Amino acid sequence: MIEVDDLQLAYPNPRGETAQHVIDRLSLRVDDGQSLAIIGPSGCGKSSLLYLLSGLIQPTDGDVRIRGTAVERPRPDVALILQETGLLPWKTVWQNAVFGLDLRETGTLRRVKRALRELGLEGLEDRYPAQLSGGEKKRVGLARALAQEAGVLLMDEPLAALDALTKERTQNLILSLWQAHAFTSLLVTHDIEEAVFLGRRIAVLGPRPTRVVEIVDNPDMGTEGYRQSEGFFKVVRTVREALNL
Amino acid sequence: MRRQTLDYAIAVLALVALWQLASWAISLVLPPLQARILPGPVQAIAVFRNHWQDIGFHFLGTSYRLLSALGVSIVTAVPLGLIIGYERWTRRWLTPLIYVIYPIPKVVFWPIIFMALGPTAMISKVVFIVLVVFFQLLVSVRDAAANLPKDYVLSALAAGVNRRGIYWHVVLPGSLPAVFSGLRISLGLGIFAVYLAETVVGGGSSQFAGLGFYINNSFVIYSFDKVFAGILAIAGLGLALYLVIEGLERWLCRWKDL
Repeated sequence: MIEVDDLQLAYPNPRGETAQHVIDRLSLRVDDGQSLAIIGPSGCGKSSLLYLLSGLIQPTDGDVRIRGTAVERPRPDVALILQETGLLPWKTVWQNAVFGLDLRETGTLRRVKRALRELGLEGLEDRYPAQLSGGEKKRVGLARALAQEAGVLLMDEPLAALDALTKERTQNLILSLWQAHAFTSLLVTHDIEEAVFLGRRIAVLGPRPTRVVEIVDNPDMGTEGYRQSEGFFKVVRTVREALNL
Repeated sequence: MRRQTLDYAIAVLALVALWQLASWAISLVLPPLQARILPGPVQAIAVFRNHWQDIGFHFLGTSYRLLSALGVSIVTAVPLGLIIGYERWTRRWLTPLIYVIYPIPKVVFWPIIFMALGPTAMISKVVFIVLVVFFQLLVSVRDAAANLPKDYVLSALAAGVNRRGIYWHVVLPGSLPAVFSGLRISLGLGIFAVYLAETVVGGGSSQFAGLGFYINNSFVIYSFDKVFAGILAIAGLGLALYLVIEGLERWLCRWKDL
């Protein structure tokens, strides 16, 4: 379970004087295997929340715990996929997929090969990111997370730069991976429909300093034909209202 | 590769043709004695062939000084530039210092260097060239490391890579194109510096005194065809080193131009 209690984050302003509050007393619970989409206005601190959960930055106050232990630094059971996927352009698909993994550990190579096969990247191992399509790049990011066998997958607007068709295909892929691997998924997005398609619950955040304005339940998410269902559009409307749109 | 060789060959031929035209033009407008200041390429190449052993020794001397200085500059400026660019505290405290020193023409320091280390000593020439080259390279590398996309570093940190790993896997490869571009600029400055150092203090009669000494000495005795033979040699050295840098860049940054 991911537990976030009374989380506060403040950065010093550019002159290093009074703090700029980014997150203000934010609390959240995400059960194991749950899928939470986080949506909110630009610059409200959604990405900062993911950095806190991945241990890249430390909160000013409050607690972040994953599976009962405080998050103090990046850990192997948490994978982070960034907006531009964070692929290193000077590493090949294979080198990116194994980046940070201990290849001497038994089973790592097998896991990487399996992840690449599952994501349809077999045969592309020697290519560089510049030789891949937008969708393939996203799949390399996902393959790295799968190979890591992370129990928690944090995604920071991972599909933002994709064209509509590739975006929808990748959303379907993320959904099927979540259903097959049962990892805990936290997705930060600007896209309401994406949030409703991929979030069993949708946390709507307010403007900076941000806090949770509303949690929208989305129990039918992941069911066959959900994207075209009346229930989907109903939840979309609820999220829009929560965002004051 | 073949296309590139052809491009270089065309450029060299165009330059030689231009040189020949300029030489003819000078010989038409100036009296014969003064027209000697710009011999044609055929004349210069003939002198080059007749004195190739003499020029070759000077070529080796110049190459040795230039390569030593470039080597020292690379092993000092690249790691330092990466640290200054990537680490927040070094960036904050050392950047102003670098930008104060960077615009000062380093040539103003040569009398001090030569006085301190000895005007004919090899070390004084190398130190002078390092001084000229080092800051150019340092600034290029610092800027590249400071402007690396944040996502690369975040992604590596999230993957559990340690600080040394961040330098090796992210900061160095991400800054490598800037290292090569800085190196290309530094090479031009380095050739200027080695020429100047050898010209001013070439002095003695050592056969390895360098092309700067050879060119300057030929100039003093009004042997302009030898001057141009020396220029040919120094241009050849520059071109060879540019090609080496380009080859290394193509190999180490092969991900860049895909």
